[in-house]
Amino acid sequence: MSGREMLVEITGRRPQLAVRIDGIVHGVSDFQSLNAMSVDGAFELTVDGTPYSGWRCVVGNDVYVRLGGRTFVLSRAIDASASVSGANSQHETRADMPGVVVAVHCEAGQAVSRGDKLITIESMKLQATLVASHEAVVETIHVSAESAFERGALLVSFAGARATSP
Amino acid sequence: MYAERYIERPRHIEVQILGDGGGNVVHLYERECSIQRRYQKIIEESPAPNLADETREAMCAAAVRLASAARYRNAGTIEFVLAPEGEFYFLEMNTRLQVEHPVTEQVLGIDLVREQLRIGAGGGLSFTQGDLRPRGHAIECRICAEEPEQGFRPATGRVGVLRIPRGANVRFDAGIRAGQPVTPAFDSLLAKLVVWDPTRVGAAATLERALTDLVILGVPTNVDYLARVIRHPEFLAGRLHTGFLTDHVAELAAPDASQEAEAVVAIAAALADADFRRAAFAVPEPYASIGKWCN
Repeated sequence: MSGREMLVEITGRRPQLAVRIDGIVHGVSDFQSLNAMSVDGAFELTVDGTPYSGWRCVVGNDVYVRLGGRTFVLSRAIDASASVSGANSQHETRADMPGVVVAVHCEAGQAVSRGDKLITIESMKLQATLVASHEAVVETIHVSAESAFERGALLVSFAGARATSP
Repeated sequence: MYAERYIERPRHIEVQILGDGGGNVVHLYERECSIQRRYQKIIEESPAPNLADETREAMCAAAVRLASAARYRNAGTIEFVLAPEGEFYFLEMNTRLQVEHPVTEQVLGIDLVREQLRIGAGGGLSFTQGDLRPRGHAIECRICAEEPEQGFRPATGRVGVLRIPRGANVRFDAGIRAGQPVTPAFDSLLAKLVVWDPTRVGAAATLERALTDLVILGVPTNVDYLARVIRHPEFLAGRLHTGFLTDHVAELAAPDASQEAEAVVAIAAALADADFRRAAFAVPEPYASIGKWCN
């Protein structure tokens, strides 16, 4: 939630469900409305004696919750090595929003320096040119002009940082 | 070399017109569209707040003169840049109906699309300038699939839950329904939420309530961000200019949620996980393992 990881654990079930979040234990009751395979819609539950009502919706790995006139989005924390948040690791460039490729500016085998143009993409009227974040050699370009991609899709992979001169 | 006048803290004010093609043009007053991000309008209203009557009249008259000289036939909008000192300058004309046309409809009680079709069918204008009496205040906001806290980055997903706010003076123009996917194939605009009230203060309050009642889940939206703009004292005071959202970016950032709220949200979200739910609803020991026995 909000870029912060939270650990949510059940610590007890009698006399009522106890859930520990970030070290603090909360008593949970009256949560029958959430006992279903998938509840996309209104829910109610009581936490620490206070009743709450809100809305929830699950889309893929994301859970949307609306409470008190405010929407929160939580993602199930997955392996850091399989991150799809769009961060550029050393050896790959991923899309941080879905879209289409406008133009490819590099080719396999090409040595690039920091700031060199790699790919221009477009999504919802917004165009962006992705550039190399460091010196590297382009290994594979996984898309071509006019191909579409999803968020987190691998666009360019690199052979590895070029060795710096001593 | 090309030189252009630079205006600081400009307001974007536009005038709606209807022309019958024979030189007859009526104006339907003005709209304020200064609340913009990435040079795109996200909140529009009519009438423009804190606008001197003489300036309004001069702008509307200029719009009519222009459209009339062109023997314009259609609905159209003449856009102006208004400088703080009161001078206004022609920006461009949009020779079509615009996204924000509902605020004009609400204030004048007129269906602009019907008037367009009537003109197109050769029926001319159905009213004169004197027939038009603006009443009250209307504000529209554009609900978009985007993440304001990520530089308004467009987002995709699915409209998993949709709950439309109700109210006599609340209008929700949308082409979305529950279950619909939101893809990068289209613009990020999902819906327009338009309210009317006899006063501007009342319209802002109605809009804020409607934004709080509106539920769109399954794709990130700017709903909560728009509510923070509407609540901002400078917006309520009508002190607007096209740099408003940039000037107030710090105050418009989402505030931290309370620890209790975050706990409730985390629990509601955790119960979406099958393993967590199984553990939460499991019958506690030792009752699960008691069977019938007798000695």
